[in-house]
Amino acid sequence: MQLHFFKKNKPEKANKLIFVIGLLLFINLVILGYSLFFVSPLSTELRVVFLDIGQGDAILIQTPKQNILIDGGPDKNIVRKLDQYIPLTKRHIDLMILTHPDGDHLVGLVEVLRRWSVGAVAESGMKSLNPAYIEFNSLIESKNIKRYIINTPQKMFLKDGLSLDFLWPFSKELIEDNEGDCNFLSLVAILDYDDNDFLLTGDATEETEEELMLRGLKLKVDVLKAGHHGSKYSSGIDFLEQVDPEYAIISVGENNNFGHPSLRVLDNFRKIGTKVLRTDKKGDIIFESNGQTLTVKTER
Amino acid sequence: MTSSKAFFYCLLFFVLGIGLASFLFISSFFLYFIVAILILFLVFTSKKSKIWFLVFLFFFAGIIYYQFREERIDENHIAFLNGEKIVFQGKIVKEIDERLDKNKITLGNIVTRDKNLKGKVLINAPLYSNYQYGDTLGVECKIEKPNSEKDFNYANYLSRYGVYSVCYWPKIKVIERSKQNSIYANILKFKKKSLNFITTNFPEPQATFLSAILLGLKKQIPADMRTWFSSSGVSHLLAVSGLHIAILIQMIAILLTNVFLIKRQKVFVPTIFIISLFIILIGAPASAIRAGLMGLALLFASKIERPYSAFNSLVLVGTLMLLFNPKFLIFDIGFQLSFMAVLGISLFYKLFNKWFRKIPDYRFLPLRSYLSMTLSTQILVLPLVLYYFGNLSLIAPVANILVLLVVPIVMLLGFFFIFASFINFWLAQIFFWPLWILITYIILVARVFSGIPYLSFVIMGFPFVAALVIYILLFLLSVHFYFAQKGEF
Repeated sequence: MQLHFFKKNKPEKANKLIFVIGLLLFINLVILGYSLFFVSPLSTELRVVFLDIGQGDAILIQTPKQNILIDGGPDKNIVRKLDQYIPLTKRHIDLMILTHPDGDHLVGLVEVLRRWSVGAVAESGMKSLNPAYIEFNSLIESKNIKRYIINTPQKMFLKDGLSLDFLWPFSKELIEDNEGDCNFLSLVAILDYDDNDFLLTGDATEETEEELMLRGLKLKVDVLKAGHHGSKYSSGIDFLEQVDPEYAIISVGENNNFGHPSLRVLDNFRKIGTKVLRTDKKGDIIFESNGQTLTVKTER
Repeated sequence: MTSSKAFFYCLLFFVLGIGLASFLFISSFFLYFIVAILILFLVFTSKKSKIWFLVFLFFFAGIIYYQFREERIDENHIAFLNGEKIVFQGKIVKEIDERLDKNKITLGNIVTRDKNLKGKVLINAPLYSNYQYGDTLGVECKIEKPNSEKDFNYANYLSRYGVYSVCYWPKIKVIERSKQNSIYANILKFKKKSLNFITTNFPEPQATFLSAILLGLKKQIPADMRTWFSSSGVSHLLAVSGLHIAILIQMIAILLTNVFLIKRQKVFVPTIFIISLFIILIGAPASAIRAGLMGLALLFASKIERPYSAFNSLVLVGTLMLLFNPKFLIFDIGFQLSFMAVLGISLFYKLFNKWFRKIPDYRFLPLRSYLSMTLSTQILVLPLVLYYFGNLSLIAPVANILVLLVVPIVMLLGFFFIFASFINFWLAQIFFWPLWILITYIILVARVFSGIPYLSFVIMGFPFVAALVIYILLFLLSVHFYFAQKGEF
C-alpha cells in the first residue's frame, strides 16, 4: 500500500501570453461575480436601507459622498450587511448615530467601530453599564473619533444636500435626570432630502410621541420607522395621524420573544392607510430617492 | 500471523471495546471475571491460539479503559448540583468561544461553598465582556444539564470536553485577572491579533472565510454562507476539522513536489513545519493536533514505503488519541471524519491516480493529483456525512477541484499577510488584492454551484445500516484492487 503522490511531469512550455490572458480573464470574472453576487453599489442620489439584522434596529443611509449608519442591531451580523451595500473602495462610515444604548441598537455598532474607519459618532450621552457600551466608549477614545452629543433639538447639515433634524430629546437635564428608562429618551430625527422625508424614531415610546406633538412640530413625512420595533408602547393613533406616512417600517426579528410587533400597532397603521413593511417578512427594505420620487425595493 | 498483523488486530479490538463501552455499561465484576479467564487461557493454551486470546484481552481492556475514564458524577463534581441556583468561582480554562451574538466561556477549577469541585461549566457571556483566558470569575446562576435539541445530542457533544453543566444567564464578576504568561496564553493573544488584522482589512464575507480557513474560527460563519459551502460539497474548508488538515497536508505535499520540485523523500520536514505553524496559529485545538498527527503518520508511511505501514501507523495514531480521550470514538464526528479521510487517501489515492492517468498533471496545475486526492478523501467520508447530515452533493468533485487549486495559495498568502501585518500595515497591503481575488473566487464557486438545481440533495434519515453496508463494500473493493495490483507487479 505505498503512495505515489509525486509523479514528476515533463516541464511544460508554458505559453506566457496564454497565461497572462487567462489570469486577466480570471480576475475579471471574479470581479464580475463580486458585483453580481456580493455587492449592490449605489445607483441613485440617496439610498436608505432598513437592514434586516434580527431583533434590533439598523439603518444605512448612503449618498455618493457619504455613508451614515444609525444603530447597529443586536450582534455582529451588521458587518456583513454593510459590505452588501458599500463597495470595497468606499469602506468608510462618515457618521455613526446611536439612538440610545440598548443592546439591540448598540452591539453591532461596536463591531463596526472595531473593523471600519469611522469619521464621527453622534449620541445622546446617555450612560449604560452594558459591557458593549464600555467597549463603545473606549473604542471611540482609542481611535480618536469625533463625538457629537445630541441632547437638545438641532439640525445637522450633511454632504450632498442631506440634513438630519434632531427633534428629541428636548433638554440636557432630561438625560442627566434619567433613571433607567432609555427608550423614552431615544434620539428622534427627521432625515430630509428635498421632497422626501424619513422620520426615524429609535425606540421612542408613546410618551415621547406625545411630547413631540405637544411642541407642535411639523411631523408629516413619507416614511416612518415605527418606534420600538412596533411594540404596544409606541405608535399611538394620534401620533400616526399627524405623521401620516406613506410607508411604515417595522424593524423586528422573526419569532422574537417580545411579541413585536403588536396587533394594536398594526391595526393603527391599517386605520390611517399606511403600507407596513416588516424586516422579518421582507428582509432588507431599500428606499431610493432622487429628491422628488421615492421608490421602494425589498430583499424578499 | 505476522507481528505487524497481530499488532493491528490488538489495536482494532481495543478500539472496538471502547466503541461498545460507549453505548452500554458493563458491570466491572463481570469484566474482571472475563479478563481473569482470558489470562488463564493465555498462559495455558498452545502458542498458535494464544494470539486470539490476546486480541480478546485487548477488546476487554478497551471496555475497561473507557469505563475507567468516565467521569463519576458524585458530590465532588459540579454536575451533581445541576438544577440548583448556586454561586461559584471558576477559572477560564479554554479559549473563549466568540460567536456572532454571544461569547461562550468554559470554567474549570470550580470552587463553591468553600469546596473544590471537579468538572467544568460552560457559561454564556454578553459580547465584548472583557474576559481572558486564565481569569478567575465569580458566577451566580442556575446550572443545568445541557438539553438536547431534536437531532442533536448536546449533552453527549459537550461530554467529550468534560462539560456536564451549562448556565445560560449568569451574573458574572471578575475576581482575579490572569497574570500568567503561559505559552498557550501567548498563542491565544497572537491569534487574537491575527484575527484583528484580518477583520480590519477584509470586507465580509471574505474576512469570515479567511479567519475560518487560517485561524479555525468556524463558529462565526453565518447560516446562509454555511449552506453555500455544504451544498456544493466544500464545507470541509470552513471547519478546521481533521478532514481539512488531512487535505491540507496532502495539498502541501503535492504543491511542494510539483511547484517547488522538492524530492518526495524530502517533503516530510517542510510539511511538518508548515502544518505545525498552522496548528499553532489556530490556537492548537485538540481536533487540529490529532488530525495533524494522523495526516503526518500517513505522509511518513508513504515515505518509508512498507506494506501495512500506512494502515498500521494510522490505527496506532487513532488509538493513541482514544487513549487521550475515549469519548472521541463515538461522540466526536470530527474525529470520525478525519480518520476516514486519511484512511481514504491511504486506500484509494493510488487507485484513482491510475484510473485518471489520461488527465494531465501540469507543474502549476496538478489536476490529476488534486482530483485523486479529492475523490479519495471524500469516498470514505461520504457515508458518514450522509448518515449525520444527509448532504449529498453531486457537484462536489468539480467544486472541490476548482476550489482546492487555490486553497494552498490562499493559506500561504494569508500567512504572509498576517506576518507582514505584524511588521507594517502597508507591507501587508501587498498581499491584500491577490488574497481578496482568490477568496472571492472560492466563495463565488461555492455560491454559484450551490445554486444549481438538482445537483445537491438533503437525504433525511439515512439509515446507519446503509452506511455500514457501503463501508463494507468499499473495503472489499479496496482489498480486491490491492490484490489485483499485487498480481500485476
